[in-house]
Amino acid sequence: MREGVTRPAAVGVWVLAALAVALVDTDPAARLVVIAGAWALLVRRRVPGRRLRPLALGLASLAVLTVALNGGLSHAGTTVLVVLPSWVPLFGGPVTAEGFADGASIALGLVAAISVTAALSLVLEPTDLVDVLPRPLHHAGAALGAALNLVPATAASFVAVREAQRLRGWRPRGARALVDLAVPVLLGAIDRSVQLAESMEARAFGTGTRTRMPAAGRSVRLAAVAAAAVAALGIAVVAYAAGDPGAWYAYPVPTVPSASPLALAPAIVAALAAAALPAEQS
Amino acid sequence: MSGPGPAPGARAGSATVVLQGLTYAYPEWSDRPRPALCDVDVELGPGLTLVEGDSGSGKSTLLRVCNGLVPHFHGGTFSGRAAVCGHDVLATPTRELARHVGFVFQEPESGFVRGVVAREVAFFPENLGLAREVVAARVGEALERVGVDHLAQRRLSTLSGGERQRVALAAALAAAPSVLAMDEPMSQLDQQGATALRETLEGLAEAGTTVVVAEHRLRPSERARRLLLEEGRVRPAAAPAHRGSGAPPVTPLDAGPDRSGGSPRDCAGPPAWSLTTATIGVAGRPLLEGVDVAGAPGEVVIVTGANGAGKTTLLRTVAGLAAPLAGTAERALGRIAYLPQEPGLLLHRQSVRAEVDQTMRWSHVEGSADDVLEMLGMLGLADRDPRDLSGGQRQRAALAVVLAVRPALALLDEPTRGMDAAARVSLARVLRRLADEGAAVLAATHDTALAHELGGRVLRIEDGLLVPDRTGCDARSPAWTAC
Repeated sequence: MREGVTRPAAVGVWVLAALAVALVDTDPAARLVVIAGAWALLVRRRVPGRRLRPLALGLASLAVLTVALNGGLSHAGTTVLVVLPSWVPLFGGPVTAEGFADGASIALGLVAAISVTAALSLVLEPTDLVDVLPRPLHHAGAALGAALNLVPATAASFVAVREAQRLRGWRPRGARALVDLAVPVLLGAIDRSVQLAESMEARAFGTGTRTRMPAAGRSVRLAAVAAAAVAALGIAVVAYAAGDPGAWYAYPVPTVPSASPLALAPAIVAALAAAALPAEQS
Repeated sequence: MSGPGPAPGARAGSATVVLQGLTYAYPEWSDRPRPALCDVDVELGPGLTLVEGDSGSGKSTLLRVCNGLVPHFHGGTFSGRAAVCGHDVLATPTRELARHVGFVFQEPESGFVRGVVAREVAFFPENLGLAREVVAARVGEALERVGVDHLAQRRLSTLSGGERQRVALAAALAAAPSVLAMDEPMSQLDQQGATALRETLEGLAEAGTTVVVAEHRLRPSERARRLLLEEGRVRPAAAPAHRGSGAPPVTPLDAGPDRSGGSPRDCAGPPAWSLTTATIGVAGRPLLEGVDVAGAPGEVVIVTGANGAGKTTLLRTVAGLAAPLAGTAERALGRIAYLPQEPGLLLHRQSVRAEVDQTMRWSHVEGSADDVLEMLGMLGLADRDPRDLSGGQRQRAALAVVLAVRPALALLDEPTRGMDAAARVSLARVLRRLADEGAAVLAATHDTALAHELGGRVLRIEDGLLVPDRTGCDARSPAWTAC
């Protein structure tokens, strides 16, 4: 029996556990801890070349939108900030501080869930996931992993095409200009698909039973990360069953975050597990 | 027409690749002036066979017949007989022929299946269902053989073009094929890698593998059989005239660039481009530090260095596509022509002429696209779809596209990738003309023949430093940095 687990397995288990913690534990402080753990993981252990800025900007926009919409649409709560005329569709009625607070709580949950899940695409490459598929799915998974490889390649192609076109004099003005980017990116993706298929065919893919090589890079430390993530999930379930001490409500008036150790423990354990994920061996 | 006889040293009657009366046309052949292969009669046995010919002569197609991608994958019209290791190519699917034939593609980066080097190399023997121990041993041997065993756990996305090419070769070798077909396997390799590859191929050939390689950079040796293709037909290989008018003999791999004509131009006046105390790198990781270098208008500068040394990053930094991690990068006013390593990024219109014409419109350059194409000897291909061209022809089309801006600064990344000798001579002539008209040229290349023909200043990246050439006005000399 080989010792330890693989990196994709450890990251996969951590993502599932941290996602469950972020969704089950509604304590704002706990969700902030999960977010901090996820971002520490993304910043320190992302695949070289992967950019975090688009994710950060997207999450910030999502959070602002969620708070604004919930604040404008909720109308529940006791602390009325302003009353919009009733003829204003959807937004007409009292706008309350509790509505915004509830929006902030929802935004925290969304940001935590997305940040955690982003690790699958930023800390791993799509083909890594093939290694953790069960044996019956190995053959199909190899083909799927190869196809998924086209996604980052196409994203890189978009950047490269834009650079090349700009130096030819192309300027991003109007919809027509977008066509001059989209067409070469699309044609490039088709070419890559054809070449990928050629390459797989030329390397005997589909001739019969494939050998499944054990994934490299198993380690006890990775196993410890996975175990800690499972422990975090277990504590969260126990806490929930014990009356959910971290439960937080916005209405009718926002409750004070409990700061209960039992409520914070799952998030802290999950964050520590993320911090313990070792760098990739190269 | 009959091809050459068995390779020197090959046993009589031991032909592994037999092509008889083979004529093949791609399905869209009406857009092409002729079938890709015409009446080819060839018998190849164990040993090294070098397939020669100008760009578009049918070399890639012939190689694809060896593993059945032609006609199984591409379709088209196929007549005559082809057999590989005793298997009728028409009756045997490519994936079955793959048990005997390894193949290295011209642009291997597009064919990678896995994310990590060792996993990519294992893909082929895994598909053959070999025992785990055998797969592991094959992977280790193949990586070591092409000198990338230190990259085994690296992600493919972090490798340079040359490193990826070596991995692609290892991925083909891992199946221990009887026949190894390779399409321009050296186009992105540094000198060391190209020399190592040549030795590897010779070793495989001596061990009994049928190695069939199309490579412009490979000097024919006495031990190799030569197969010359001209417009899809096999010609006698001995006649140098078939290599294109005015083409020089292929430069030996171990020949260094001739720097006798590389004396720097007068450094008076502002430089066309400069890097000042610059640190350049990728994703915050420095590749080159303390770079002080400049290029004058009208000067040709060649940058060489090992795969992954930072040549492309240097070019991107000068172009303004990447910011230096420290220090400054400056360019004089004027248009920039930038040729990326992947010519396909620039080619998506229906004809080469339309593509060049588009560049001229975007850059507000007056004149005719045909003038640019004529300058590069591409007028005959003006109406062809760029995506139907051979690798070398696509590269020349991409050059026409970027040079159509009439640049003040031309930045070219491996400009001779896949080019035949005649096209390289033509390119050198064009670049010299550009320089004579006042443009600065900065080219990153492993092609010593290009450096030889251009006669420009040669800089080399070694251990994270830009090493000066022997001409005196080097990258670090006060005279140069004062330009």
